[in-house]
Amino acid sequence: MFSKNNFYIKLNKYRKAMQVFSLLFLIAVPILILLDIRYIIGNLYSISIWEIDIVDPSMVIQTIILSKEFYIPLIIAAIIPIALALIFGRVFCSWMCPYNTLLELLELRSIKRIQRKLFKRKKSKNKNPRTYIYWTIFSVIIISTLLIGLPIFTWFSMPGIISSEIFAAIIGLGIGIDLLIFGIIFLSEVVLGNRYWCKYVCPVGASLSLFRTKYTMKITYNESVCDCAAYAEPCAGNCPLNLRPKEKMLYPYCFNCGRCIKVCEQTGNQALTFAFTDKDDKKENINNVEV
Amino acid sequence: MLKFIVDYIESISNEDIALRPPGAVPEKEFLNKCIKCNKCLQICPYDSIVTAGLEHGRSFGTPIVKAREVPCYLCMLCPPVCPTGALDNNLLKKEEVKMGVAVINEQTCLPYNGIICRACFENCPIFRKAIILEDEMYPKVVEEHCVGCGICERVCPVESSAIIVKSNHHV
Repeated sequence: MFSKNNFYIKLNKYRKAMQVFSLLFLIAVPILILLDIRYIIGNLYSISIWEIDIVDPSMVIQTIILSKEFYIPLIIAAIIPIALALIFGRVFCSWMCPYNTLLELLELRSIKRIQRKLFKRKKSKNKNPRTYIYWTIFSVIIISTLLIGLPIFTWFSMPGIISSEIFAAIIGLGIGIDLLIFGIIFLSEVVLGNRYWCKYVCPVGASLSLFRTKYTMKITYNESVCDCAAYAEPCAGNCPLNLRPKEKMLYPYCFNCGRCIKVCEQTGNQALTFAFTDKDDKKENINNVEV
Repeated sequence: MLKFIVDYIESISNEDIALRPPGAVPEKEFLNKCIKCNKCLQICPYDSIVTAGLEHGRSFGTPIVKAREVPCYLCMLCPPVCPTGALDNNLLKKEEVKMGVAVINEQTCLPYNGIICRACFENCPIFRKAIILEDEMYPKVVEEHCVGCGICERVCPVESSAIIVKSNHHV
């Protein structure tokens, strides 16, 4: 399916362009409102483009938990992001989330060097954590929301906070305590590193991970083509979440940014690819027999 | 300990609930439903809706109307844009809004002190229904018809307003 040359390198460029576009979009919305053009309203909690309503699925889950009722227009509004998640996985995180964009900027080598000197942090080893850790943390968040009855998802939604604070800053509203929550989490990220928020905690990402089937786009590894297996793992080295793309159990942690595939393509052989089914393995077997 | 924190947070928020945008469901339900998407605030052509600050406790970031600064002019654009139903999407008639009820402070209100003033009466959007003039002189609020938009509070010439809208959202 993706057999064109340099497809994944190009895809990664599109991803970066989309990240920039989504940031510009968040800046453009309040500017358009200042100019009295109100066709696009909202932020990353929920956005309306003309008549199309889009709501973050995590907000839908929170509203259902807190209000204990199913408000149909709200559930309809979550269809677009859920469909995206069902087809492509958590691409919202890797293509649009401004927090991810920010943290990817932090990966610049010069910044990383300073970070390492300041906090004496060593390079951590890449590994794929157990799946249950992820779901345990998410269920703790859900249960505490249920027990305390406070909108925890809203308070700790990084894309939501960033987008609403950009709006508040441009319109000239007061900057809220949200920014403090954001600051604490961001600083802890700078000190601790390893993208712990995106990887384990983020309720927005976890809600999107719920919608994952056998046919959702995933990273597949073709061992027979890989020729750097023995001595190096450029794919793992380029993973923003410190995962090992070659191993199984990549999900629900991986958000399909495709950076591992990009470096894999740069080495000249395509051992890692995006695929929608596991069929590729069978094909390889057949090819092997023919050879 | 969590209970303690929650109690504390609620104690600050319950003091004086500000006016909510038109169509808001009861306060407790509203706090459960509002996801701070700011859509109501962004669609408002008069900038009547602002976000609540930290002084409002747990409801920080949710939309409120500060009537003395900019009241609600009942254009009814915000209720349909709410994605979660925190504002009643089907509310389109301004007469059916119930943000609160205006209360006149007869101690400071000018007509009650012998000075002719019809500011609130003449600016009331539910004209001759929500605010009536008793003896062609003294303004009176008819609670049944008052929508609580706060225009009277805005136009009152008395310093710190002799007519104040009390929020309808005492849970």
